[in-house]
Amino acid sequence: MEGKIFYRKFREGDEGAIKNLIESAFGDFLSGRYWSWKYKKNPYFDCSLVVVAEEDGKIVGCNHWLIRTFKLSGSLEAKAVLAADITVKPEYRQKGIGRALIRSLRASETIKNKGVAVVYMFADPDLAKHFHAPVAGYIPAPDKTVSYIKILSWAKLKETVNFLNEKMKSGKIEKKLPRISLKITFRNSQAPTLYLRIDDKGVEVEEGDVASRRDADVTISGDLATFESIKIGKRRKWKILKALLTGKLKIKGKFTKLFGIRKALWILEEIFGGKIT
Amino acid sequence: MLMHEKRYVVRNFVHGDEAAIIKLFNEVYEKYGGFIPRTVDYWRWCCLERPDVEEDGIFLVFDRKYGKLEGYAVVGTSGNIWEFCCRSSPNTEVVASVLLEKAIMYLKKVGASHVNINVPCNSFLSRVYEKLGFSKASPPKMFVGLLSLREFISALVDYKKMELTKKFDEDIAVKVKNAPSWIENEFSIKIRDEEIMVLDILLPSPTISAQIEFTTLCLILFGIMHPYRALLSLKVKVNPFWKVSTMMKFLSSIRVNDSWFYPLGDYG
Repeated sequence: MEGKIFYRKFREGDEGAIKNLIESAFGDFLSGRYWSWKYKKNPYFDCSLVVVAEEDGKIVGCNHWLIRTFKLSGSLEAKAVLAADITVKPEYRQKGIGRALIRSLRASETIKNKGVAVVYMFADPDLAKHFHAPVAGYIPAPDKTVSYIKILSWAKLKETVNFLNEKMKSGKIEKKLPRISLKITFRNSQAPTLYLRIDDKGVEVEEGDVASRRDADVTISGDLATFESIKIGKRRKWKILKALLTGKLKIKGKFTKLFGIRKALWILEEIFGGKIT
Repeated sequence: MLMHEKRYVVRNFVHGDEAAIIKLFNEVYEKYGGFIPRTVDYWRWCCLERPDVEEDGIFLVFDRKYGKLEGYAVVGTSGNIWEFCCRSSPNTEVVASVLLEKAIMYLKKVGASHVNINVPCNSFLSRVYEKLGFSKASPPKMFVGLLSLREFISALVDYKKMELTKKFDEDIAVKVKNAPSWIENEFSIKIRDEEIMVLDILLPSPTISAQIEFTTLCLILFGIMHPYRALLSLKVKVNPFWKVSTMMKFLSSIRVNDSWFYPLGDYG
């Protein structure tokens, strides 16, 4: 039977449990040393702005806020909080613990005493729409930040392919693999060419000059931004069609194999759908 | 020490560079909203002590003749350029290219799989990034919310006090519809004789009464929605109707105008 959940401020000794919880949710990105640097070493760290949810003495959720001085407009500065990492153990989700963690920081004396009026955060727009906006009333900031990326190697993508091959070997994915080889070239971005050979044994990847020299059944070319927009778009098939019609994406190859690419689409989605860098 | 252009010298960070770095960062980015003014302590934590940053991953470009810092980049072994800053000058593109080439060489050497950088969208340096093989990607989006509407309105009207007291002589009462539970759902602003007061209550006989949806009010105050657009979509109601223009002018006067930018270092 589940015990009662208590909410309390961070105290010395919580560090280990919080690090484990955060690491299990965010992976390497917030591994132990990152957590210590991000919070404990931060000149703006205030331990009263870290709360934990506890059941029978075990930490099952946590929420971190950081106070910063923030420019709003012109020379107008305001005290703001960065709503940083919030997480709840998977088996405790959908029980209102996340909401309660946000609520307890919002009601914190530190926030009231320091006259903090603004809270901000960075999030995936979908998650923000479904969780953060209804729970904390967030709106998109008038943010004009653009990100540029340059691919130096496809090392991360190769890891994803290895992971996919392992899943197929262990029978976690039962789809039949088409027999096809694909060459993907990236216009403008100078990203290394990719060569994917798919057969019933799995997917094999090569990159760079080796990949460029390979003969493939189908060659796909486009710039990285087009691949990115397809990846994040909701109606992917429509986006692909639009990119083909506008010339942003070009597909050429053996006529008989062109139709086979449809069967390989799910593999491309598996490989490119997650983080590729 | 390496020479890239006759005019510039590139070298790695050495202790003592912090003051010049934060001065340049604050000069270049202070025009953006969401800007966190750098202090030596904050910069040391944000860049120098970051787990993936080594001192040989921080590059500085100096003007050879005057010894002035023209730009710098803080490059993490994870592939992220946490801070990138170039002084605005006719040679900014040269400085930016030199820094980015250095960053790319460094990241190839440490075996990073990519280079990632955040820049303001109207940056004239876009062509430099594209020339060097960068492609646009989608950064995580920034979201804002309010913890106290009264505090926020007070900060906005205090900042514009001189302008507001010259333009207006009103008692404005605002009812906020659909406000979340922690937000005040009514407030008043009294503008009289060079004084402005923001009150938690509705004034008994205001010269202007307005009713605004909470989200719409936030969108207006943060400069995302124009007050007239909100009025046309019936999300703002003003009473009496002949005061509509005054209320619109008031909202336009207090709203945040700058576009926002955050360097990667402020994100994570």
